[in-house]
Order: sequence, then structure tokens, then C-alpha cells
Amino acid sequence: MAEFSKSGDVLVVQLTEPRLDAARAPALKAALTQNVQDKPDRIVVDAQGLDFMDSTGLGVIVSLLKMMGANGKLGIVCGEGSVRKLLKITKLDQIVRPFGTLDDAVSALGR
Amino acid sequence: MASRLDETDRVAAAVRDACGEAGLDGEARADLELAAVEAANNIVVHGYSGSDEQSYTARIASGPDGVCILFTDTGTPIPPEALAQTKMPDWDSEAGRGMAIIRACVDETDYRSTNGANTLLLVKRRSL
Repeated sequence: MAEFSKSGDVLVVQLTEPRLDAARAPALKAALTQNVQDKPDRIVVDAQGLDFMDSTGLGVIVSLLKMMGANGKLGIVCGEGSVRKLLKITKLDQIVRPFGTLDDAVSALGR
Repeated sequence: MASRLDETDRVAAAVRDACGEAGLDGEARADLELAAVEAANNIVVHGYSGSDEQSYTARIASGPDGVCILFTDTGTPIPPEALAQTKMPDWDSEAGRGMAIIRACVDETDYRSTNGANTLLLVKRRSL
């Protein structure tokens, strides 16, 4: 479902399945809850391998943002496809910053 | 379809096939797949309150003008205020975006609830 690593001071959450929907979202939320306990303030979700996300999956991304510290910054690597469009439709691209590459996201969010 | 969230993969696959037959472009296919999955989720989660012992149908038709999907269920009808939802909830809401997403992703919707049966029609037209 997800792999966790650090790049400098940025926590990288790589989504490892092609779909994040209502059936799969609870498992991801459980993994995030278990691995994001110290309120990190810089997280990048690497969703380059994600072909499909629905509103329940998006709700898990929102929950991740709420797990972060008060000044947390969350980025998502998602190219130009359906995930980015979902962020735009829901206006969450104003809160969760989309990036084209992992390097760009880590560079922008890292200190 | 059984009223289970993991059954929505089957709906999504059928929608993708129909979109291919109708010649919808990639963005339109993704839009309709998302709208269909949101509609199916709504039936399972809200219409049947998560019970996996119910069922619903998704009839899909494709043609040169686009693709239509007709969902039919016998669960709790969508409340009028939810049906009219076009505005997204506040950013920190983890749910409640489904109907607004459906409306943003398709060209036409029609919802009816009569004699215990609910139908939701989604229409995605092919761009000229």
C-alpha cells in the first residue's frame, strides 16, 4: 500500500498500488497512522504510480495533512493526469501542492 | 453488483471499456470512471449503510455521442440537499465530496426515486 522513507528532512510516502479508492483507503490510512506519529512538517506523497483515486482516497490525503504539525506542508507527485485533476476539481490543489517529479517536490518542500 | 466497495473495480472496468468503444478521450474516460465509482460508493455507503448483502445494477450504454450509465438501487434515497450539492466542503473535511465530484465530471445527471427504487443516470458526451 505504501512505503516510507526520508529524503533530507522530508518524509516520502510512496504509494505502491495503482488504485486508491474506498475499498483500499482504510488500509492506507492505517499505515499512515502507524508511520506518521511524530507530526512531521514536511511530507511528499509519491503518487506517480497511481492511476485512479476517488474522494475516499482523497480523504486519506486530507487526513495525512491533519496528522502533520500546524505548519505542515504536504506535496503530492502526480504528473498531469486524473489525480491532479481531482485535486483541482476539489480545490485541494491550493492546500496539497502538486508536483511533476519527486525531486521537484523534495527540493521545494525541504529546508 | 453486490453492495461491496471492492465491487466498484468491476464498474470501473466496464466503464473504461464502454468509453473506449465510444471513442472518448483519455480525460473524458477518467472523468466518467471517477463519477461512476463515486456513484457506486454512494449506493454502498449511504444507500445501503455499508451492508454487503444488498445489490444494485449499473447498465452502461455506449454510442457515437458518448456513454450513459444508469445505476439502480433500492436503498435509502439521496437526500435532496446532498443531491443538489455542487460546492466542495471545507478543505479539512475527509468526506462529503462525492456528489460535487460527480456533477463536475459528467455532462448530465438525472436522479429519480420512485416506489422504493432509485435511479441515477450519468451522461458523458464525446467531444467534437
